[in-house]
Amino acid sequence: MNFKNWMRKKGYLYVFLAPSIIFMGIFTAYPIIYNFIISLQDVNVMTLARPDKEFVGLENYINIITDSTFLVVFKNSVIFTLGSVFFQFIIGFALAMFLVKNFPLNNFVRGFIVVGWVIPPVVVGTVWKWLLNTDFGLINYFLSQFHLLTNNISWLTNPDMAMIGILIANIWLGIPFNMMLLIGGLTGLPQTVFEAAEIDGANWFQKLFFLTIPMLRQTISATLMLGIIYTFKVFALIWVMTGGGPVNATNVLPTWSYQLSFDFFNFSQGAVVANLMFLIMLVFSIVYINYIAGKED
Amino acid sequence: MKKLMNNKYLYSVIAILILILYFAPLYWMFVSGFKPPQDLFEYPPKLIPTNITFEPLQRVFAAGVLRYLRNSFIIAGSSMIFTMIVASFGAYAIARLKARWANWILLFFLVAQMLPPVLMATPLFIIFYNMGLTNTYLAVILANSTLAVPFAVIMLRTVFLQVPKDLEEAAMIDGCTRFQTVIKITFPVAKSGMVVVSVFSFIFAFGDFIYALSMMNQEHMQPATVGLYNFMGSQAIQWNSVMSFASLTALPLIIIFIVLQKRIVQGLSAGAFK
Repeated sequence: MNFKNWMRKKGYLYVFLAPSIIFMGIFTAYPIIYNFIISLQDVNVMTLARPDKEFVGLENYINIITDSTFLVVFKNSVIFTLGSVFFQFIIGFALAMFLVKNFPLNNFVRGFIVVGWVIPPVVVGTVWKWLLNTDFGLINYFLSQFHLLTNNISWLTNPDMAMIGILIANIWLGIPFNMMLLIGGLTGLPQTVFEAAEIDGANWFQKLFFLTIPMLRQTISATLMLGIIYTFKVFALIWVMTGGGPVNATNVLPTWSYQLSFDFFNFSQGAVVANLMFLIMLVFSIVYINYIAGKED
Repeated sequence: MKKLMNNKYLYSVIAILILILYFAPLYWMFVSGFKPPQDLFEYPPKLIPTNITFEPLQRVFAAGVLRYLRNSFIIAGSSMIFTMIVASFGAYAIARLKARWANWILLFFLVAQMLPPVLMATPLFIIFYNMGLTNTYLAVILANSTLAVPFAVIMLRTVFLQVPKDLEEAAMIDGCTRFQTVIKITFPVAKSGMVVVSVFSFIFAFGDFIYALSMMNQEHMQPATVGLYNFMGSQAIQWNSVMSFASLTALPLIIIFIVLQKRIVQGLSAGAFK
């Protein structure tokens, strides 16, 4: 078999595949490995351009893990991720349940809520920073109108409230995505089962807990897992709203890594935090991919 | 009661209320951009503005919002084109390869797509810095493509799996090369899927913040997301101007969304699980 024939039969696929593999190799696989190397060296502003950077072993890892900020940041990441995913999911699920009903405007509303998903997180963060403004924000205004508070809440400048402030904004941002995935699952459910249950006299709660949720189990788990993966890496929204502050109250792993690298120019420690995130994300991604792959078989 | 609950018009009204509630933040962004300062700090706030001023808008134009938006278009457009060229051939190959290792490559793309951008920010910065590429569009375009390429490969693979091979074989018999076949037959057949994926790539890159923030400190090259962030931080915050800037940053994406709404929504619900 000559070369031309081989190219025509099979070789062309390798040629087609090559650019994407080369690109991802240079700009994704190599940086991940390089990140690991940086984390074992001493890389700061002084040594950035030097070819022979000092090898310091696990020193950076030890410094990060024993840093009192680490526990705070890790805890914040967990709270932010779980809090966001929980409320995004509940609200997204409620909206999905409602919008799969058959009525004139359902498709219109369904389609338009997704706008929230295309708006850059930087814009969303900026808008919420204004809405949550202590003295002139719309949120405090409405809360005081309904007599829910007497003093205005300093959503983003009070360390006790800042996490709730960024959670509100991120929940808003994530609702459309959850809603869309769940609508996809809900429309696939067989209607006859529900009709049979109605004939048997099942009420709304019984249908929800004994039919909808069990039948939707796979969509629900996939939505939750994707939610965790996406929320764990949120950076722009938090950076714009609080910059991780006040006093680390909203500092999560992504913002801390960025701070270490680009505010303190301690690239090695920034890389350490990024690597810890990478490990956590890798586990989640593989669990998710395995789950999805298992579902398709 | 039963009758009322089944009322389709009641549902529609509730649906509209939900939509209004959800869009309230965006509405507030938009109207705040046209308010004079005294109305901005008025209590109670006017939900429907009475004094409309274009002064914030003028200030935003003076701050170079159009230049920032142009940069966003350059970065997002180039990243989209680059991604589509690289990813469409890659996705086609993975869709047609039957070897077991093709699955491993697919797994690599799946994991790569989920990686946090901040993970790549530090190493990419140092790599580009040593190549002398910081403060270039190229660096930010390539960095954005590290997210868009794996996403596009995964989405496009499922699109190409649905293109019947018979069509391609017929073209081959007519004397087309493999390359010609893919360009002239496969891609046009898969057009609607490819449009959705291009739009997604564009939206991602347009919304990028971290790469442009870390790799560009020259104002004249920064995209609108970084421009907005710096604009907000540069002065005692004038919220009407900031909201005006934010509206203009979101506007191109809102327009794209409205034009291509059906396809985006289908793409989002179809592609997310695969």
